[in-house]
Amino acid sequence: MRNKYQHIILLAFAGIALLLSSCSDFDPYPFEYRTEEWAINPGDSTENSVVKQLFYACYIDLPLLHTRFSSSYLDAATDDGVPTQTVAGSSDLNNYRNGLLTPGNIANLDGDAWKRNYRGIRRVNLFLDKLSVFPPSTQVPEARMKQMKSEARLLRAYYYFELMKRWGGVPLVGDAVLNAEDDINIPKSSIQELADYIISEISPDSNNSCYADLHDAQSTASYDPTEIGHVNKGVALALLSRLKLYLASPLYNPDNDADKWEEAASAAKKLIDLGVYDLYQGTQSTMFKLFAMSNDDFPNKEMIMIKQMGSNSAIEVTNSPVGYSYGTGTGTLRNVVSLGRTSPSQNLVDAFLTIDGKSIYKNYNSQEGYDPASGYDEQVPYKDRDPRLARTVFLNGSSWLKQPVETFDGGVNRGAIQGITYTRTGYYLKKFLGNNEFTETYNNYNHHYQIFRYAEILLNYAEAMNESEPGNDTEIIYGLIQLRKRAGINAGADGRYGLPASYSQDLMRRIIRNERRIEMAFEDQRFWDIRRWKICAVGDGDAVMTQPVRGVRIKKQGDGTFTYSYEDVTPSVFEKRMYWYPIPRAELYGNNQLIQNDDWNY
Amino acid sequence: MMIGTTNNLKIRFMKHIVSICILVFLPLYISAQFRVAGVVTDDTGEPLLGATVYETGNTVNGVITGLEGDFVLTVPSASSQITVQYIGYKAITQKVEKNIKIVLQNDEFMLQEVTVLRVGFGSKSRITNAASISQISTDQIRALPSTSIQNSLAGRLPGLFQLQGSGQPGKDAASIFIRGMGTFAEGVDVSPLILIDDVESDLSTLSRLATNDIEEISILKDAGSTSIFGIKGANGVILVTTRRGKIGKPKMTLRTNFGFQQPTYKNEFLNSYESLSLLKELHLNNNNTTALAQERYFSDTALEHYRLRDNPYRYPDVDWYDLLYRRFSTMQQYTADVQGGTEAVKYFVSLSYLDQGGLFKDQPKTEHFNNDYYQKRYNVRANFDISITEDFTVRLNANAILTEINSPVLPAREGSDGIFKRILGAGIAPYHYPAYNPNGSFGGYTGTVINPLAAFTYGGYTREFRNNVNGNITLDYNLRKITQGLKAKGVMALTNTWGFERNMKRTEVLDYYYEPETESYAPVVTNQYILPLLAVSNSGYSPMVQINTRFDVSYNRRFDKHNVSSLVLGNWYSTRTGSGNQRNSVSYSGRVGYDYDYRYILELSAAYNGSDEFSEENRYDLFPSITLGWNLAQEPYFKSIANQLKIETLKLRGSYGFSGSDKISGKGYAYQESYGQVMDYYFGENPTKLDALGLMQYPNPDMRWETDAKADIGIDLRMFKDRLSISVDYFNNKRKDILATRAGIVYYAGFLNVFTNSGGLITILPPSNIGRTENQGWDGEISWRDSFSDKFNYFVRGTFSYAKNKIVYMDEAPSEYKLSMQTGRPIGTIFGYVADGFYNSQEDIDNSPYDGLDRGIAPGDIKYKDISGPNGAPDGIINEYDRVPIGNDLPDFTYGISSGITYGNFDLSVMFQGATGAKVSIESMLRLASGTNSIVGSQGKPMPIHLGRWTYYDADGNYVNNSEQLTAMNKNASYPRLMPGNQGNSAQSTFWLRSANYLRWKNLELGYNLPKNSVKTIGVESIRIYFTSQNLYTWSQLKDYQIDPESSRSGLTTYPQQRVFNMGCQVSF
Repeated sequence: MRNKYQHIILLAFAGIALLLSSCSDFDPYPFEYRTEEWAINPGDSTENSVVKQLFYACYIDLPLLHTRFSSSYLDAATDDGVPTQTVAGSSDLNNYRNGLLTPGNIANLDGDAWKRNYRGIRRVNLFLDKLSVFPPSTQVPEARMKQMKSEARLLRAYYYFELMKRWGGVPLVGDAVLNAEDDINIPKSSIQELADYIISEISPDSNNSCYADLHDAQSTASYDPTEIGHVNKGVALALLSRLKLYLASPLYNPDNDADKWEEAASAAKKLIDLGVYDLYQGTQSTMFKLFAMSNDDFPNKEMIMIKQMGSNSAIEVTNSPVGYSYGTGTGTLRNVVSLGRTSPSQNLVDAFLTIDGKSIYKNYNSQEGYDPASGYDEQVPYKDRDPRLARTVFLNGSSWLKQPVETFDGGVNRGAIQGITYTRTGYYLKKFLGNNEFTETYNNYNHHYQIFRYAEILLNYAEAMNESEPGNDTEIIYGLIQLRKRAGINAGADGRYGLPASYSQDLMRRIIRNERRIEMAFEDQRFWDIRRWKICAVGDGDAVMTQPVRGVRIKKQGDGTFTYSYEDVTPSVFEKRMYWYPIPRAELYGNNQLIQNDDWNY
Repeated sequence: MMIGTTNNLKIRFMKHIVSICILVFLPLYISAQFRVAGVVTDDTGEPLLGATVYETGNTVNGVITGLEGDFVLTVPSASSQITVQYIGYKAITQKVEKNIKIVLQNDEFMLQEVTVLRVGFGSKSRITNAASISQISTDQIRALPSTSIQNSLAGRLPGLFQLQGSGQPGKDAASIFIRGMGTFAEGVDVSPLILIDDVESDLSTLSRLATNDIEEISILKDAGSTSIFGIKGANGVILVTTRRGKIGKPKMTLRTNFGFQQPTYKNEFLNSYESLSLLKELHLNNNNTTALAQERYFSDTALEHYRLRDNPYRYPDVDWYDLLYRRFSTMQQYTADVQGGTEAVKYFVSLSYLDQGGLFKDQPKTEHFNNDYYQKRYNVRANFDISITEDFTVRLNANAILTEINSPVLPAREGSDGIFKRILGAGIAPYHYPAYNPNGSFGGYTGTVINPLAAFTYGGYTREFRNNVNGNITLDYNLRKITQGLKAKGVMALTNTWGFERNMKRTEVLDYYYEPETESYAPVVTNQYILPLLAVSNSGYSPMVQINTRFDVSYNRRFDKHNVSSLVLGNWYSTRTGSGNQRNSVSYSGRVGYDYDYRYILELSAAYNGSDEFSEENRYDLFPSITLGWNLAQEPYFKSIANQLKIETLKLRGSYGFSGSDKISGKGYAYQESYGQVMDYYFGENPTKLDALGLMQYPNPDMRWETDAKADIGIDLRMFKDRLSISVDYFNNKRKDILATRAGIVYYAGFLNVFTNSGGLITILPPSNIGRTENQGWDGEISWRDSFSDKFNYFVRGTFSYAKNKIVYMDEAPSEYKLSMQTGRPIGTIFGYVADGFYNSQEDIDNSPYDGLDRGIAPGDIKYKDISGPNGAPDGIINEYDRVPIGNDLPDFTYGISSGITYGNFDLSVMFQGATGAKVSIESMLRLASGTNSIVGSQGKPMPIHLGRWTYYDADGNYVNNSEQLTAMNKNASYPRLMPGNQGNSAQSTFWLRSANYLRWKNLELGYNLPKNSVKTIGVESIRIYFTSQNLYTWSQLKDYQIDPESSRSGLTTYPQQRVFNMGCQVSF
């Protein structure tokens, strides 16, 4: 039958057409995705090649100083200051002082420290892993590869140190690039194990450490300018110095093993003996360049390790006293408003020396009362003081954006307008800011974060020497003299810049700790120092974190003069468990080998 | 053209009648045989066309009834008998008469046999269906003034939940979920799979379909009906069937709708005096002397002037809503369709045009552009069925939708808030400035929002053009030559969507600040005296092409008492866009059904699916299901009882099986590793940013789809000659493999999310298939229809849907705040504090639990209950431990009640719809004065609700400081003390939660069919005039806050929902 054939033919056509049109295969994968194959493609030959980009990523997780805590500083959680914003949640820092730190909220505090440092470690491990597949090329010759590898290892050691100072012992993952499906139930290593690992990775004295392949410690003469910002031998030594100082400190060294102090002293000495570093020398009006740099201000001989930042005025905006604003546009939103996010404490202000290098307190101890010999007068508090004071905090009457700073009650920078949050202590933080005393607007600066600077090494050395060889005056005051001299303290007839000619080990300990406090204020040091010195909680030394943070009230009198009164701003709470951070709860949930730090199990 | 043919039609019609008369009467006088002339109708009197009438015992001598149910048959003698048969009716045999009227009774069983339910890639008779399917024929809702079909479905289809968030023309389509929420995967589309004529489509296309083009809508809910869709069926399926031509002469239907729209709620705010008095109190509470120093608002003189309204330029009191809103906006809809066909070609062709206006007044302006909201939509459809041979049919569907959506553009002077946030939220207050200055210019004031009248006069528009073209061709081959019941079908469907946006904008408008004392004018924007030109710009949407091909073979045949049905099909689906990922999926599926004597029903179905969202190893899976049914009423031993109880249908059914969901949020291809530029790092003496490369997506090669195990048990009952009909289902769905973030992957593995160098945060860890939920509930419908006489019919119908879900597992890291953990609680749980009145005095604060939230409490603030502490018992401190589940943001019960009566040519129907179980927080829309200059806020403005605040001031405005007096004065307070942005009280708490339960009078339809006889004289088959209305009235607690319960989630920031009154007329030729 004709009809039947017709049917069959039609059906066949339809069927074949349909099947042909629909049997196309899937694309095997999205071609636009850069997979690992691409990331490690050795054929890449551009200057900024893939392997270099993987390498640069190892640096990204270095900590941020200025923006980690709602635009305030970690040291505003110590007796040195308070965050200006008060309401819980508006500043993470309140959690530290009020005892609100918990295993639940720690994961997102302190710049995600736990997650961030482990991310840095994974990035290093990934880079080290991938590096092996790259043959040396003209763009990345073998020497360069070795150097990159060493830098990455040094960075990894630094990330571990960042973890160690927060949590004590943490899991050590070695070279493993951990994957989601791997066995991640890794127990904590002890502090000693961590320290041994760091030392073996970076010390010039250990075999197979990264030290040999690093750049030489920075000396401006022989340095490739594009390599500035890379870690080098000086950084390795500085990290060893800080690590060994920590390991010798009371929190880490409860038995006060004197050998550890000796090791700390020699570690610092090693770096001093390199001879390439020196303190930056500036005048009162140019010292700001240590922190707010323009291209021609840097590198300077003091910097050892920096995290470089772009050029902007963000830090000026977040720190300058509330009440300063300027604008170029029109409309209600035209103003760039200064936020004054950090309020340094009276406690810190009192720690600054007099111009003659004396403490305003007897024996450098605030609990012993004012020392009349210092000439300090509560009602003329800023007269004849250590020039570092005026460089560190905004004092009533100093100049900013061509206007006087008014931190007296009702002044432009304190209380002029109701309903605005002004300083809680009467001070704003000036350190790190560029020179804007006589400008109309904020200038742009590179606010590089000085992770290590030479001043710290001098202080490390003084501290370790005073503990290991009390009485070795020459070596103990070696750094202190340099720092005080650079600060602008009067040398005095004896040329000791106010340092007593004779002293007990204990007094010198107070002097060194005080020097460290004022020289390194708000540089992410004191928060860790008071912990490693173990002087926070009740019964531990001065128990600094159980005493209230103090501030000043300045009243303007009819004749234009000022009177000063002092007040408690906020109480502080410190429990012994708070010497270490709690491990984030989610980490315990995901790793059944992990044990929570003492007293955080709730 | 139409007018021209009316006369011709009329003439032809008359001729037709004449010829029928001749045929009927003439033979009587000529023949000796007996001629029967008659009419066949159903029991309601409707003539039945196409009924078979034959001489009993001699089927060769038969005729088919005509258009009016008429027939003429010649039988051998006057004592002969004739038999009348019609599908769906009981056959009748009776003795002949000269003029006979035969009334056929419905055959319920037969009706069920022929009532077709749409199932996936096919259809099925109702009686042999055992799956859970709800279906409506859209002729019930065709006349409703709703522009998106899905907005008419709520309450009509059991199992369907919907939320209509906005009333904006062109963007008012409701979101839909079937049987509640089954997944908590973040950012995942939970809407059901939508198929239009068996071709995969999407919600946005559905919302733009012309209601007139749709024949039926079905929702498939259980495994028995959804597992054939395999990987895509877990969230339920919506099947839309468009209309097709039927054999007959061309029938043309014209319909016009003209309606008025107005918001369901009128927003009323406080006048200037009341608003400012409250704001003054707020600033006093906050001790904000700067704000209070604004003399033009807060001085006693100013307030007195505001009260007296005696200086409208200096102290205005403007009712902006009156100036801005139309009383009514209009909506017009015109549809025309023609359908008909012959054996060879059947056709349905339609054209629809919709013009929906917006609610803003057209401000007088010199430039003639329209910047009000509106939607214009054109729908064209042509569906053809062409029989090439007896067994070979080609079906063609062509559909084009062109949409134009307009919305106003506001200059960005005060930020990017939309018009509704500015008008209904905080922006424009009655006291800022006069609408017009004395010289006719627009009023304004520095630091406040742009004068909306100026914005609507000068501002431009954004005009979106969205186009959707779709063509399907189906080759349908009946293979009965091979064996009876065997069919093969091939489909190819092509869809293209694209669009673009035309913007007409100006950067600034002109408004002036008028100073009455000096009679001076100053432009609000310094030195802005000249209106900037309108600038045109355009942008396009990425076009999308979708190709769907399918091939299936089916076999359906009844052998005496055994009925078998089967289907196997292959379905290939792929979408491509210009950028972004292309998505491909493949499905091979099939089903086998068997029933014995309509009594025992068994169906097995399965789909073998693959999707390129997943890695090669995880690409395919099988989704089987089993369905069982038992038609108890068909059992011989039950028949007598059934007859006694007047039960026509009693069916028990159940199904169990699996379906999946391949929707994943985010980037897609999560099984692939991806590297990219992470934040750059600076190096060098001249700090230079260098690119850094890092992991952007950590691969999860094991990623799979979600799988839903669905169990369903249902019962269908029809009684009393089909008057009563009940259908109820219980379901229990267990969803596993929900894609959720794993809390168990520790951060020290190094998977912290990264910032890209453009600043975006990228989650590098992909979700894993770890979540599990349980979702169970009931849905069903009950209806009753009856008639008092053949003129007077009525019906009542109710539907309900209840779904309650629970998160069984979500890999949530244990929290110290145990009460705020989500595991074990429903999806969408709201956590917050339990409010316990207000602190009425300082003593009250001192005697209450310590405020560990550091919110700086004072008398007048909300007191929270101390529920728990670290040890699970109240600890005297209010803190995170006291945050508990306090509600859910989705409804768990939704219902609809509809009813109607027909009396002669009149009919009336109403429909009510409601939902319960959801809570909504009203806090953010009631925030006052959180802006920087403290006179406008970013959120809300004073509303009547604020008048009931807790206050320190007695009736005379005196400050009260006495505890007892304060307590007494504020015992009826319904709002905390006024503070900027509800400062101190803004945390989520039961105080701010309101029930979003509602009951809506959703629809009303009142119609009148002109008498057939009279319309025939003008050559028309039927004329229907009707009045329809939508959202007539809403009962809801949220009325006090002037927001619609369905759009309450977005507060006062969206286009209000509309109430519509519509007049329409439908004419058929």
